[in-house]
Amino acid sequence: MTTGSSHYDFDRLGIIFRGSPRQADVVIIAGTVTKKMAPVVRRVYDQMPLPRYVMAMGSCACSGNIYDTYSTVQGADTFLPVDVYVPGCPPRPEALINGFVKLQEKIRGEHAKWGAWR
Amino acid sequence: MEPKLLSEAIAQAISERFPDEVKEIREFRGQVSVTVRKERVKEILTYLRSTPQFSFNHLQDVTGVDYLGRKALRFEVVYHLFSISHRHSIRIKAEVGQDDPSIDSVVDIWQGANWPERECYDLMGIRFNGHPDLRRVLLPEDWEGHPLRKDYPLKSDLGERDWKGFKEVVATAQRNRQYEIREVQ
Repeated sequence: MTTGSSHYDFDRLGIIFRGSPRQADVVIIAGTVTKKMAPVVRRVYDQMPLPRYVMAMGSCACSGNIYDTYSTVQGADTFLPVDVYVPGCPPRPEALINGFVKLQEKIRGEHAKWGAWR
Repeated sequence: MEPKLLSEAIAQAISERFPDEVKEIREFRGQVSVTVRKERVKEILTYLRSTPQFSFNHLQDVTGVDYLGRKALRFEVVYHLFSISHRHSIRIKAEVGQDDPSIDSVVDIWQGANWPERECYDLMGIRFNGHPDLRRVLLPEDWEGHPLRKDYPLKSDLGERDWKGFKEVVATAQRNRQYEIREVQ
């Protein structure tokens, strides 16, 4: 959230928060995913139109962090295809921006992934 | 021995009023806890709430403890009471055995006991008789098992015993992986 505020401001990189997954390109899984919440997160991801990317932000979304317990999913990549992992607990705003830069590089390097032309 | 703390005086008053119910009184660093049998626990707690010199009007928490293998009666339900007017507190522990893990609900004494008792049921499996709406509050409704018991597996990998909804999500993700767009080399 600090990344969106005026000091770090990812709006200048072209990143805008949208209100609905139907209008989004990237979904950021920020925070711990519990087993109770996993079907809900999957449904949000399924609602995104192609081309879509997933960023796992924070150690809990990357791997479950230290919470190897009955209710915590050990990383969002057990039920979602993740493109960029941003570790940290919590990740610094600079780390999140670095994650977006890495995602931009990944997209730039893609060739004919989403269709014959893109 | 003269009680040096007010909470100890309260504990002594309880053991004088209910001599057969009180099993033990313990004090540690200024905090007093009274261990009682579970049969008349509602009477004891009503007495503590309604007597003017005690007037424990704030039930701070209801929790459960599992003493698997260490005590004869496996569970304990712990009530943390506080009096807003007199500013004293006490802890009441009611012993509950494994063959009948149930105890009377105190929702009609303190309305705020509703969700803490549901949490105790959800995570420990202790039933509360007379609770108006005893169902799981934290875990999904169709979860099987009571995770905070000592014989529940510790780590995240529950295998076949895992929650059905989570197993379905993982299976769907595996199945849909074949439809995910792959990079064309």
